[in-house]
Amino acid sequence: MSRNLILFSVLIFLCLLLTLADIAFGSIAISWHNVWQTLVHPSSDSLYRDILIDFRLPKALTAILCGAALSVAGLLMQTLFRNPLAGPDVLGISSGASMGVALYVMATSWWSVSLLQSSWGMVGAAVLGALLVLMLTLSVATRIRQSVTLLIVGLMFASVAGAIVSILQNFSNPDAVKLFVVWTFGSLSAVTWAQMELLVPIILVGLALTFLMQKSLNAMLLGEHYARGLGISVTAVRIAIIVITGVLAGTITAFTGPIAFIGVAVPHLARGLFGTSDHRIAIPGTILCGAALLLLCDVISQQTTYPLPLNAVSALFGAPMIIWIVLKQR
Amino acid sequence: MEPAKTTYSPLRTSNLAIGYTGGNRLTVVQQHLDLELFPGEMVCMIGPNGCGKSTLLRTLAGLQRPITGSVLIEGKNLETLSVRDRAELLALTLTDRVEVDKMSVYEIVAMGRYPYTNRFGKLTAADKEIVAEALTQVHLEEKASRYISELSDGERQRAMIAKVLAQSTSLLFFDEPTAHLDLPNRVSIMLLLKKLAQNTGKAILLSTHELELAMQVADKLWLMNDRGVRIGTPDQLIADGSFESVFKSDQFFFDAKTGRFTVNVSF
Repeated sequence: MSRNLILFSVLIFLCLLLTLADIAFGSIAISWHNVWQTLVHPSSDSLYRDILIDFRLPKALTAILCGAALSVAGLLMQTLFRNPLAGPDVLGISSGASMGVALYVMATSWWSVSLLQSSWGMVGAAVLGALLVLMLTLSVATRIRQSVTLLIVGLMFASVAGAIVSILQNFSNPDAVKLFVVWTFGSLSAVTWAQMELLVPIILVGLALTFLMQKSLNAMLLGEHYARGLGISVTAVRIAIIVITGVLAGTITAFTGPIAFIGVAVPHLARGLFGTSDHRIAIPGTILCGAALLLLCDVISQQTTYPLPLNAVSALFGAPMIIWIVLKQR
Repeated sequence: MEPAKTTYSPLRTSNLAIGYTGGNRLTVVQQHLDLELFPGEMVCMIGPNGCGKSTLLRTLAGLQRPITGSVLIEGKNLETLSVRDRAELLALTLTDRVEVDKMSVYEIVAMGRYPYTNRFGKLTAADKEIVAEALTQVHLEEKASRYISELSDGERQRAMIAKVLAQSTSLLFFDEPTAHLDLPNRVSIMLLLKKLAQNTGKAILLSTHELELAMQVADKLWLMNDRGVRIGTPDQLIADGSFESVFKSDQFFFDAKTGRFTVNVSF
């Protein structure tokens, strides 16, 4: 237990440090002194205020929320399917969210531009798209028991969603297409303080519900029959996992665009670090590792004159990690 | 020595029919079953593949519904009980191999307490005592902190038995607990279960292909084939010719005098 406490402390410290780094470094150099002054006196009307309080701070907060939410969504999927390679994007949830957003952006661009400004619309479309794909995957999952088959099915759903997006783009006006394409690059800087009021409660509720389910999640690791034998209502748990995953991954994807690999890689990192699959440890561990990793990705992506696409950086970290996991398994 | 017979039976079925539905077709595997289990008794279910051993075990455990008839557990109809109530009455191991990465033996056995613990699975001092006792009963106390993936097949099966014991139920079911084990482990698992039945007064039902082993350790056998279930002590079933008729084959025969099967080499 003491080892876990030390690990948790180190991770929390790391997150704080990376948050500061994320705020302090950017394409415009701001001295530590000015960063500190602006953070301590946010009401002062300086040039740095706009950059730090209205741009970099919400971006860092988004990185924390996004890293935590995607990683926990990945953890939930890996537990549900008892497959180490499951994750929100592998099973097509992110593609579903993309399809929802594409439909929304392009359909509303024919109607009215004012609807596009509503953050509720984007979130709703992404959540619905994510849930649709997840339900389809799960309805197949109840018939087929082999996880490899399931992954193929998830990839196929993702391809179908991608195809629908291409067709939509073909018929849409260039402005809407551009809006969508920029969204798919993945960015943490699109969230305003007003949208934050929506994003923070949704993610916190999703994470809190996951904490409440830790016992059922542990039982699910043994398989559905054993879970039922231990008094767990498997169907209810399965539905709860799907809804929470859809809301977490769908909401985040709506605001940041699809961000690759974090959801698959981080749960392994957390379980390996803490040496247990027990969700009591794995859930907080995954949240902290996810937040730290995405903050790190964001800090790295800011080191060039023009910020690198976040997706490229997260893939550079995530893909080798997945290869390492596969090699370690067999 | 016969265990003390009481009229109390923790499990009873009346006119039970078991089977499954695939698509629109209903397949009845066994019917008209009136079965009973008694405290402290170890019953082995034996029969050729496809006779419905697993289906029966799963039906008795409430993992699948009976086609007709009912299963009464401590006087209560299994179908009216919630999943959680069932978990306090019966515990089982299945043939599904548990593949969990980074889960210790202790964590797995402690899951047996899930029907009793709070939402977060917090173990009380009493829970911890029960888990420790379960580990001692299967002689795994020294491997409690090892990952389940590091154990041998025999140790892994013992860990699953400890989990079932930690569930503190009066009924224990085991679906082929000796599958994939070598001879010493098969014998030790069977003897362990026999001892548990005797010492704890739990009613144990297991399915197995270990005919000769079961004949020597079981208090009672449920001898199954596609025509029904014959119930009795091993001696009774040998005497009335049940073994010969259930395992009828040109390739081997059952010798009632020695109580063994002999392969017909000249065939």
